[in-house]
Amino acid sequence: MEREKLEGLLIDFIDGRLNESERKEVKGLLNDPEVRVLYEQLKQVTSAMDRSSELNPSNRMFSDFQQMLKEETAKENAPQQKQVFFTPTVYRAAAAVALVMVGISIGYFVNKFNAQQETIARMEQERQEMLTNMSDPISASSRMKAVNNTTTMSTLDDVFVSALVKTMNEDKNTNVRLAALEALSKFQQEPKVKQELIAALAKQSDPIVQIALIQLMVKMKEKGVLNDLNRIIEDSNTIKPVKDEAYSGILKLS
Amino acid sequence: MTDEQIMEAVRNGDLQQASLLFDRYNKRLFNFLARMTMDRELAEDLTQNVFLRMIRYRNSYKPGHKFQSWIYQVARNVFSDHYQVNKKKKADHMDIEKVGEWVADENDGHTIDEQEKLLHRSMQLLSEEQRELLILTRFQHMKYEEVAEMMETTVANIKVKVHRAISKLREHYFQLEKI
Amino acid sequence: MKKLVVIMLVLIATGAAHAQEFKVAKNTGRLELHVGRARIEGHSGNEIIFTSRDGDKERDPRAEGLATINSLGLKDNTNGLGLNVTVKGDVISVYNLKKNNSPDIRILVPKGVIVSFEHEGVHGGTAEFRNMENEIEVSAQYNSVELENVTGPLTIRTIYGHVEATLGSTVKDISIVSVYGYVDLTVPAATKADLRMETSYGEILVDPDFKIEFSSTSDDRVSGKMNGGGVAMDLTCNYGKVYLRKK
Repeated sequence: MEREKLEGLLIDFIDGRLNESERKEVKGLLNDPEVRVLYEQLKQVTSAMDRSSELNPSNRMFSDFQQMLKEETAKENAPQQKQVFFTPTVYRAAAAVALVMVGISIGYFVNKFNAQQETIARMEQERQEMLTNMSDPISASSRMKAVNNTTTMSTLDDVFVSALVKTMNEDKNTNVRLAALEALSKFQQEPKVKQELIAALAKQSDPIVQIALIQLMVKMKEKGVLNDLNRIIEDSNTIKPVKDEAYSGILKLS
Repeated sequence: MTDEQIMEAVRNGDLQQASLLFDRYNKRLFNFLARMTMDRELAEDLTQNVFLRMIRYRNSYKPGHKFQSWIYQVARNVFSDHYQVNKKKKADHMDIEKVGEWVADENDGHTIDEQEKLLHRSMQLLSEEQRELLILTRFQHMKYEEVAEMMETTVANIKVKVHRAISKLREHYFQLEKI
Repeated sequence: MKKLVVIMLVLIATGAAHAQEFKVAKNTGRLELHVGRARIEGHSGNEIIFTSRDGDKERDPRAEGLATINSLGLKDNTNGLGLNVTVKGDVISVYNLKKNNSPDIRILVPKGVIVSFEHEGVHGGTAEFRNMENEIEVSAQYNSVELENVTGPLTIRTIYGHVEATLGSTVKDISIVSVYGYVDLTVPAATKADLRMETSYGEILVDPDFKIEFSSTSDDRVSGKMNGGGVAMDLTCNYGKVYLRKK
């Protein structure tokens, strides 16, 4: 039986979610010592979680809440009190209408704001998923997809820039590194990104990414990297194709 | 009165009723946020924030909608907004040695044993999504149906994810145990 | 490169090793191959099976009951195949004992296992992959890579070797990078892909029967959507040629 299916079955068994025949099946499987060990371990962690007692907030929670409620109620009531002091009935009626209008438009804006909050929340979730997938330890393809998806963003915030830079410099898969470089190069006008791309040249250890970086520097006409290129050429560990690209880079940038 | 009825009253302007919802939910929300952030003081602040939003943005509550799903969604938003503003990469920054200790609190009379310490360290090694699912289903004892409704997905999806999370947790737990 | 010393140690024999075969009961996770060459094939079983293609080597009667060990302390735990295989969590790591003489190995892999082939040394051969639906990663310096009837996802990089691939009827994300060797890819004509082909000093050659909508062609790069677009297909070769053929 596939491992994932087995674990799912055992967990449901522990939770008492199985019917009679399924329970019988599991009991049969438990005769296998390896399955037995797995079962005991799953039981241990699930009961540790179930037993975990509830945490108690401090006493100030209640008093802080009361305070907050008082303040919010006061805020709500304030405008209505002002209205009462308007003199002629006509003005009062007009003010009432005006206040209702204001109330409606505030309601409208609050709703719009809330809708925005919901969209922001959803976007945040997508961002989090992207960041998590970018560090998937098992599948290079899923890391690559996450990196490529960042190109759909209009600007890159610091969190994403750091994540992409880290991937470009440290990912154990060359192709993923290249994808990160590609993604970052789309935002090369942003000063922070530009800075990181230039700095990467000195840090990069993968020859294929070095070549791509050098080509990018040439495209960006970054004369500032001439020293780095010289260092690459002088380094005895640099392999030939990288040296060649560095020579070519120096030629094109000088 | 049901949670939904109380919330509708609040929505219609009877703010004092919010106290009832506070009584019913504050401990639960605090536990959720405390386990997500692993910081009690912060969790208290964030919980207050949730109730503040509940009152201020009461119009975003759709009458008839399940209150629990709505308030937890607010809590999740408060959680991610906090880190959005502070730009720290959440629990990844926490010193793994200190992680176990936050649960114990002299005022609480809550002492922790080695098992719980291991459990919390293992939780910290999970992805945020997996950690959240375990917190909701196993620490907060929410049903799969409730979680599925809240996250707008199917029960089957949640079940698979929870199983995977438990599986990963088990792996980490027993690897850490050996150390 | 250090010359590796092969030391014979006295170890306890565990049963007779007949047809040289070694199995690992895993059908998910990552198979990380740190060997010079291999022929990897997909199969419907639930185990990873290693066999030797060298044919039944003449057994050295003096070696009966002993296991080969190299100067790094790795020992042959695969019944004489010349490999060291360890399993840690989700990862199955496979190492050659002799760095400069890789045994000719055939590996059958269940489709749920991600296969990674990694080799930096000069003494390498070809990495062959056949009939696989698995995700495949290759990071090589001198090795050439040949893939037949695979679906991807593929992330392949080699510096001096070439890459030849024929894809099956389903195609997933493909990324192939080579510095000097050519890249020759054959895909079904109806494949939907977002194409990106790049070469700095070589040429890009494409079968004219493909329905490709080219979007941009800068100096070095050709981008376009094949049959409307779909999976990512990135082919890069700095000095050699890129060939894109249809099935």
